[in-house]
Amino acid sequence: MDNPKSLLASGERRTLILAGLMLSLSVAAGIVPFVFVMELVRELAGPAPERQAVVLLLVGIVAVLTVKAVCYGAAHMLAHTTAFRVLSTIRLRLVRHLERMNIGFFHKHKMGELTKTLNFDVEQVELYLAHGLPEIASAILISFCATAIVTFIDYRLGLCLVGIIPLVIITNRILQRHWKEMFAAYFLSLKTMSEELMEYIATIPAIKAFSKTENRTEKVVRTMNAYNDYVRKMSLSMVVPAGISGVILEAGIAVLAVTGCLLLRKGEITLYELVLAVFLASAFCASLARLSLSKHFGIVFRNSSMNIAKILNGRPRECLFPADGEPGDIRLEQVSFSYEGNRNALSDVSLTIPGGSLVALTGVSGAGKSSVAHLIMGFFRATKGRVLINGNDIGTFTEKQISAMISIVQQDVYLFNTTIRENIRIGKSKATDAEVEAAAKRARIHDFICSLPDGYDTLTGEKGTRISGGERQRIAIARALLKDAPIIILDEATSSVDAMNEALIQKAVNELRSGKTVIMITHHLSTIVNADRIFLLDNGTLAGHGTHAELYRDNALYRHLWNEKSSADTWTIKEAH
Amino acid sequence: MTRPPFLSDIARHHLKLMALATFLWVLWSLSGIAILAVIMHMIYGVMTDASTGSIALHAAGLAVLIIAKGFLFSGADIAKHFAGYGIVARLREEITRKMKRLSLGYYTRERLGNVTTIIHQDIESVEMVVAHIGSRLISDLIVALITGGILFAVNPALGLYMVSLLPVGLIVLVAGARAGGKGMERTRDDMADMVSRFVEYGRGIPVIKAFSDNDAIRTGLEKSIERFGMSSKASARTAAGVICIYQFFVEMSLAVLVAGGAFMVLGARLSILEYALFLILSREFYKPFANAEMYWLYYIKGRDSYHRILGITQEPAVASSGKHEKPNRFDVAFEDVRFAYDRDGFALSNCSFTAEVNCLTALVGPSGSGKTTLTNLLLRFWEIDGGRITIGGTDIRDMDYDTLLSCISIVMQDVILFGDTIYENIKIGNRTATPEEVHNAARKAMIHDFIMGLPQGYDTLVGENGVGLSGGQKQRISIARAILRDAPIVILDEASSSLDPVNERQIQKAISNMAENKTVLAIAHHLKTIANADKIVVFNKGTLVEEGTHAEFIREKSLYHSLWESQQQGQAWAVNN
Repeated sequence: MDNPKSLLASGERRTLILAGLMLSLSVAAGIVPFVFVMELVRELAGPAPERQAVVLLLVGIVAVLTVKAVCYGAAHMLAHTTAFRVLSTIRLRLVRHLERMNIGFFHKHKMGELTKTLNFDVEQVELYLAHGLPEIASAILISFCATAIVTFIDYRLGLCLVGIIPLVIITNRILQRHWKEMFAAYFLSLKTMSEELMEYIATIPAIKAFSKTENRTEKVVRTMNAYNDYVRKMSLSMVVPAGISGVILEAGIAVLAVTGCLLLRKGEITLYELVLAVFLASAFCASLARLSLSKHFGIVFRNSSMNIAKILNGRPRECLFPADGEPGDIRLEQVSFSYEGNRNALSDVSLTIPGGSLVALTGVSGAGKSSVAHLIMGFFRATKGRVLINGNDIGTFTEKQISAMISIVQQDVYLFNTTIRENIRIGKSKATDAEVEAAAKRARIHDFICSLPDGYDTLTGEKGTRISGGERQRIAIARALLKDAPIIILDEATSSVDAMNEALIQKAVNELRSGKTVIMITHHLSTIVNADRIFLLDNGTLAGHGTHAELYRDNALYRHLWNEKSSADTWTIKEAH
Repeated sequence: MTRPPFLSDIARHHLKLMALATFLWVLWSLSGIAILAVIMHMIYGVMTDASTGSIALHAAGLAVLIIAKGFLFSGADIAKHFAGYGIVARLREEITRKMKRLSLGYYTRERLGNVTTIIHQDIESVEMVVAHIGSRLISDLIVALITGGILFAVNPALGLYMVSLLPVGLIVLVAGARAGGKGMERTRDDMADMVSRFVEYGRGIPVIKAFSDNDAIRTGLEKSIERFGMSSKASARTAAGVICIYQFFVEMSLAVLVAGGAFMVLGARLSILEYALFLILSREFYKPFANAEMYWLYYIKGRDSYHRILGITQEPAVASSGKHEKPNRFDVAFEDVRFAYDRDGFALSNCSFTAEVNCLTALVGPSGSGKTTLTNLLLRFWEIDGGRITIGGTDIRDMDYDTLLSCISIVMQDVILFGDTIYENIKIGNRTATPEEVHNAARKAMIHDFIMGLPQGYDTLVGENGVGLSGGQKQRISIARAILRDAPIVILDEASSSLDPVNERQIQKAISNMAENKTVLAIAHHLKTIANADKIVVFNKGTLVEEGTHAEFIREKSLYHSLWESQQQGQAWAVNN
């Protein structure tokens, strides 16, 4: 993956090679006029310059320059066209790949990081393909041509040029090793700083609230200054080897010139040959210098491709074989689970949710309620034990199959930057407008939508109308109604809404129930007293199960929760101490 | 918004280093010319004189010049880099500090993608253009002026030939720049669209997966990626075309010089040595023109980036009236307050009420009625359109913004914790607090025992990379923060929603501890918690409809009464039909 070829299709590679050839041609065409000019000077300096020869050479110069311009233009057109096609392809690959990843992947890789890769890292590929590669190719070509011509003039002069190459390679090696370390450290400190900045943006409301006492601003500024000091140090340590490599190249020209003068005095070469050799030598050295500068394209490119590869190499969930059959019971068998090596969120939990029943998972925050839902949804895999739907291990289902079986209504409902209608239609892409509205009516959100100026065409999301939590939840229920899946998970669905919304959501939830398995995850005890079965979780283990009456009678923790709830229910802000 | 020309505006702050860099680059170029001159002189010496000493002398001269050139390069490179880092550091710091001063309204309006792009890319492209390109451009121009001046002095007629076609080329370049500018703008917009769609896609991934039947969001993103690919390709092609034509004209100017000079030599109006001088020095003269297209591309890029940066730095911050009044009482009065968001229909009209010291004033109403808007106006997250808000009789606009904010503690629904230790997260409430005070605040906020139970206690890291806390735990940490801050005014916003009974009970105690002897503004959805409030203010659709106490409202038929009724029903509800 850190080789550019794997990012390219074969057709694109051919186009790039063609672009390289065009560029080389234009580079070659760039050297020829110089030879013509030399000839011209020789002719003019001669005892009897011929007008016809002069005109011929001039025409030659113009013709060659025209060829050069055409080739140059064509090369750039081809390179850019291909490069941008490659970028789109890589981005599409990234997006398609991301969709196949577990939710866990998105916990591990922050959104900012993924966005940077999609935007910035992919862009570096363009820089490399359209600018870096052609640059490198033409630099190599020029130095090769120059060496060949100079050697043809006199092999000793040629040796002067060839002699520089090992020196340049050695300094480049040293430079490159140095740069690699430097760049790795540089990217790390850049990442630290930009993460801090991103956090700063995300926490700005709190920063404003504590603007007199907060020290985050100073901390961010300090990090930025540290970064700044770091890059200063970095360029100080890089400039010396770069300067030395420049001196070596210049020295090459000087050695060639001095050698040439000695040969000229012995009469082994002519003045014109020497002048030509000196100019070619300076072209040669300029190319080599550009070549070592282009190294940095390669380093940046490699770093960026590694970031791209990090995403593309993430393993999507595998599917062993597709299972069929209507989903019935859901069973957890001795399931243990932890998020990314943290302490166990669930340990050794076994429970059965009979098909068609209404069950509740309850417990205090962090007891593991949501982890059970995540496992049933297949967002994460159990670290030990099995999760079975209708007798089949969940690992044998494809993600599509699981999502076809389960609807989920969550506490935080994500609305996309589109119309309310489309946000509901997420549940079933082929739903007609009438079906969308019918679902909205059953979810008790239709009246609210109609009260908005643009009705179903009202835009939501970041740029759209603000929609409160309760309304969002009813939109999510409308989605779930459209989807009509046999299993419904309500994840804290009625937790943070006002009284009016709560009543409406309750009615909407009842619409979801008929003939389905409903799993309620909640700590609102009053909403679950009538559940067929309540599973009480505590600290990642199953602390008890049964109906409300059974649990209240037999389970001390459950009773404690109820008593806490009762005193919470009678709380007022102005509390007697 | 006036936009200062960007090169001068940026360079102004970093004049010394920029001037140093430019000066060293000029010397560097001149030393290159000097090396060439010494070589030419050496060859001339061989042609006219036969002593070896002259070659050795020249070789020594070359050695000195080459080493000097190496030093000049290193110095110039350092100066240019340091100037660049200075620019980056200054802009980053300016933006960071500015972000803190902007009203919160700005952040909801501006998409995150934009701010990210500005911080990641725009600042660096400004740096690139001003420091790296700018110093080279100016020094190239100075060298061109020197060499051009010499050549014009040698032969004015040939000097004119030398510049003959340059104006045509420059016209092409300027026209191309104008056409290309529009394309760049589109490309940029398409990129912003792609980034924000990608962010949306990533945030919505759980929903997208749960409803995998619908691929509207992914399709939208994919189209956006392709659109960005197409527009960047188009603008790159336009640029490549313009550059190609321009370069052709620059090279044709050289051809005209060669041809014109040749005929002048033929006509014996120019000596062959003068002709050679022109051929050699014209290279230096053409340099800035040959690179103009690169300069132009970078300039456009840098200017665009600079304008986007200005979009943040010139955004009006929270206004100050210049009076630095400090209230000595802390009753809060809203007088005829009017306010409308600019993007949707919601408006708050003519709200007048007072929240007295040592009293609990409750703001009540259906969601979207304007309760939260009102407290946000008190915090000056947005500016009111009419009327005034006073604290102890002082208009909040006549107070320093920081003074205003330091009077108020907020317990918000969304708790924002910084990526730091729990200790630091609490201490932000009062930077001078002793550890003892921090612990006491945590005790009062009912979170001390939990913190002590963590392996690293108060030094536990929280936030994005830290330990995962439940909503209730986060809220109690934020209450500890507020207790430590001990501000005379307290705003409670939906403080006790979405929590399990144990957490809820603890938070209730914490809030009661904090609210003692303060001016308390509570936004409550659970009416029972504010039933004993000293004053209840009821809102509906942006207007204040009722003001009174629970007892008064229950006696009359009021909106509060109907809210109360529906909430009592909600309490008794359960998912079962």
